[in-house]
Amino acid sequence: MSRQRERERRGEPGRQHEKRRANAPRPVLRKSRLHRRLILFFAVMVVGALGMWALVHQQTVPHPPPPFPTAAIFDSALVTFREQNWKDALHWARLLAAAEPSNPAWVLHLGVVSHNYSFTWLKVGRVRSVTRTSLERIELESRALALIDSSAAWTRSNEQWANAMSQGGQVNEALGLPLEAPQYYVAACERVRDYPAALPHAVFIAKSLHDPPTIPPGTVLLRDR
Amino acid sequence: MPSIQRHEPIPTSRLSLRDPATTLIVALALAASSSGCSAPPALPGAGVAALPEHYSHSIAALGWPGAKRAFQAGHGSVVANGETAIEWRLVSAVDSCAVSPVWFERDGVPVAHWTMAAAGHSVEFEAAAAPRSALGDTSLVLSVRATAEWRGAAAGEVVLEARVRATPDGPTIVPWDAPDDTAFVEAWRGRAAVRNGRIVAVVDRAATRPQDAPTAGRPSRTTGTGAGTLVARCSARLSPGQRRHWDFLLPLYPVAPALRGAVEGNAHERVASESRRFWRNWLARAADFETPDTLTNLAWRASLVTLVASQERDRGRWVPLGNPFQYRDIWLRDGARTVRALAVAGLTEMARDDARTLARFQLSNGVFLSQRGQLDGTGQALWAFAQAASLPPSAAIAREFLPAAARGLRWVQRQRSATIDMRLPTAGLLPYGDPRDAELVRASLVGNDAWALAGCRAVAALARQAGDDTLRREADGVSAEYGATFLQALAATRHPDIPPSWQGVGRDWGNVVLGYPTFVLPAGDPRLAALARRMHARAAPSGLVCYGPSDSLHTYLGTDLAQSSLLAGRPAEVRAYLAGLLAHSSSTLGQAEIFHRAGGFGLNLPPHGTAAATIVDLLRNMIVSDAGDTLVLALGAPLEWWRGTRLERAPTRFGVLGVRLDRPTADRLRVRLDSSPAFIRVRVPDGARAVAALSPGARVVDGGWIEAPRGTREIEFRIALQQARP
Repeated sequence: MSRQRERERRGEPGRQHEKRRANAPRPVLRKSRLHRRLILFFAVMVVGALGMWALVHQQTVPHPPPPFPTAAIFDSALVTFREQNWKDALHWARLLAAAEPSNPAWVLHLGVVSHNYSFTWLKVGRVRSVTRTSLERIELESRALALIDSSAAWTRSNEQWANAMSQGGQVNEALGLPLEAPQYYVAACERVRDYPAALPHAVFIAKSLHDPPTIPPGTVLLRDR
Repeated sequence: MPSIQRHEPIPTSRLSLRDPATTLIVALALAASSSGCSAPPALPGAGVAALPEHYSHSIAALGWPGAKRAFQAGHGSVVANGETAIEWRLVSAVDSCAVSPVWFERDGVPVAHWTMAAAGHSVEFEAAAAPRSALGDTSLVLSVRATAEWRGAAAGEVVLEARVRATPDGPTIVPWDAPDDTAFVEAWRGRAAVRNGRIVAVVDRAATRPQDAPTAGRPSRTTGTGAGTLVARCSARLSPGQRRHWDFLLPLYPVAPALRGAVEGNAHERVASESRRFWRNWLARAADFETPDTLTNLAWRASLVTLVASQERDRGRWVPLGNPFQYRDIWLRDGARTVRALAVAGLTEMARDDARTLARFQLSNGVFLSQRGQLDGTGQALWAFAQAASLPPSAAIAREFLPAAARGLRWVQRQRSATIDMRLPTAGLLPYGDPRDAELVRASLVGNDAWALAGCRAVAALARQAGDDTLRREADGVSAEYGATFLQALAATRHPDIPPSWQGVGRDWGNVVLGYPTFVLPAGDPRLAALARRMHARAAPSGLVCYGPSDSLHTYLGTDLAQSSLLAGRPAEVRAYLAGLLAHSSSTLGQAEIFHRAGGFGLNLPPHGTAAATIVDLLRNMIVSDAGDTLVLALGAPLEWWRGTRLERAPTRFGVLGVRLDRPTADRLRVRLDSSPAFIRVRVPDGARAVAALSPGARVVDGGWIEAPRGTREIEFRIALQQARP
């Protein structure tokens, strides 16, 4: 790199620069000053406009609703669960899990309700599932299993762990996976001896695996078709 | 209120389109069969494929890929979207009026046609569906043109009445997303019929409404699914030979009054031409299947239309549905067949998209499940991935599916290991399943294991394509062990053919797939032939098979057995099956899944997607079969098809190729290929025997086969005609 170019790079005035400055007419300098002022003015305007926009935008973005007390959500969750109103139950279960995301009981609850919702048939009007397609159903089931596993992973109580396992077993059993379900049931019974919500299921499936309780053809309705 | 007009499908005789004078035959058939009319009904247009209706109700689907419902045309003179129907009455018919079946066009385009015929005059209908951006990408608009013609000796008046109702009389399906309304507030808003505040239909400008017709200011109320007060009449005094038409519009979903223009502004010509252009483009993209048998050609195209119309979109991907009406849902067992059919038909991108959708059914443990208890889903999904990746071969697609396929393989292996560890009676096989469908039994199902084994082999094929040797060895190992266990278990059943479950109980279902497409048994295995005999005997003389009771015939359950017969070298059985199937199809060549021998299908409306998929697969395999390491040609082609058959742009495991069969002279047959990527075997048709191979490199084998090395582009051989093979 030549010395001249190096000076230019560093911003040091060299002879060429000095020469140019010396030769430059004064009105150009005045124009340049005007330019700078204009640029400054526009910059201030832009910053101001952005500031205003941000202020307005901040005002128009809805604030999250004030959180309900968990107890109030729990009440609604419990009522809708007991009513087997799975659509509303899912809404409350989501709020509950969002309110206390690290509470394994609420995570488990959301998992169970998600599973129940996927199986729900509308109770009003003509008979149809609340979900339109099996894609929606299986994604709900997949989420339910994940939530149940997460709940089991977080819980510190043996009882709650066995409960989560038992629920996991039931989801697998309902999905028609007779080898996955017992893994959950047996795990529950190992942690809490003869866990009552799991043991009968485990025994039934074990028997069924050896000798499936076949139902004669023609006695079953085409439930899923 | 039910319609008072009699809707009698005209019972045309069995008719194929082989004869170029088809239209004339149809005219004669219509003339002979119409009752209560002094003059024959009008001919359908020259472009209409006027086929006989074999079901007791004539219903066709007018759909569009991506739409979330389909229009129903028929039974009778009615169109419906599931929550609104327009029904027509020919008021000027003095005594009775005959309504024809619904027909599509001769090139397979799903533009519906039907005719109302009465003494001295008739009305021809043409109905076409197309999307409108203003109505959203899941909606459509149906445009119907009714063209009246006076054929009496003196001038007369034609009066056509259109009535709006919720659902038509007869079989119909209310879509999942239709409201449960049974009470309607009705009004006319100009030409638009409004129900519960939304535009449900638009009638012709010339249509007149009764003086007391409801208006926005003076609406009326009606209840039930029948016609209410939204009635319009179109009338014209016509001289002999004179024609007059009226147009009607039906949106797929009721629309807000603000969107009235989006519905009203649709000229029939525009909708119809758009629909024709769209469907012709789709059909042109597919492999070109042509034989001298025009009915078979039309079946190919009709099946493709059914498969493409039975597609929705979700997360930007195609989703394969069971059918356009009652099965707007996804089953792995049906979706896998759709993937295969679209792939062999050259609709590669749609097939691959569908396969990607099937991958979404995988749970974290590796199982693929679309409906609870249907454990055949894993094998079917894995098999579908291999179809999507190999027709034509694509290493990139194989790599894309490989992670999901590997998880599926390991799920199968874990299930097998568990049944061994638990020392179950079905050790080494899958556990029991309760599919609540098909076999209708809770048992260890033979079909589940056949599909799972096919799935393991599919993983090996995918891994080979993707260059993953470790996974290939793993999958090959599992497949070999599983296959041996399966055959031992089958031998242990001591069943005369193949039972539906290892316990022996259940309806025949998954046991039919052992020869094809799972290849668990060689196609020539006598147990498969025995199973086919048993099932066909129950359904005789239909040519089909029964599902459950012997009065219920099934339109795709027997196709896998026909495919086994094809591969076993018994093409006559295949052609008999195909003839039976087409003889039990609708007038638009759709198939009801299950129907009564008398023709009733209840609420199981045609066309069924899997029936369509298996027809496409069967027809393709009759010309080009790539089941093994050899390219087998003309496997199911009868001698008549050698007058000029071609399958162009056909994906195979060896690449995309075109095949033409012809008969240059009476004693010579010729196969021409546009590429020859594998060793070739050509089946000599029944009724002929090869006596000499005329092309270099080709040789005659036992008089029934011609073999040619890879690279051969033309195979010509001399035949001697003989009696048909037994």
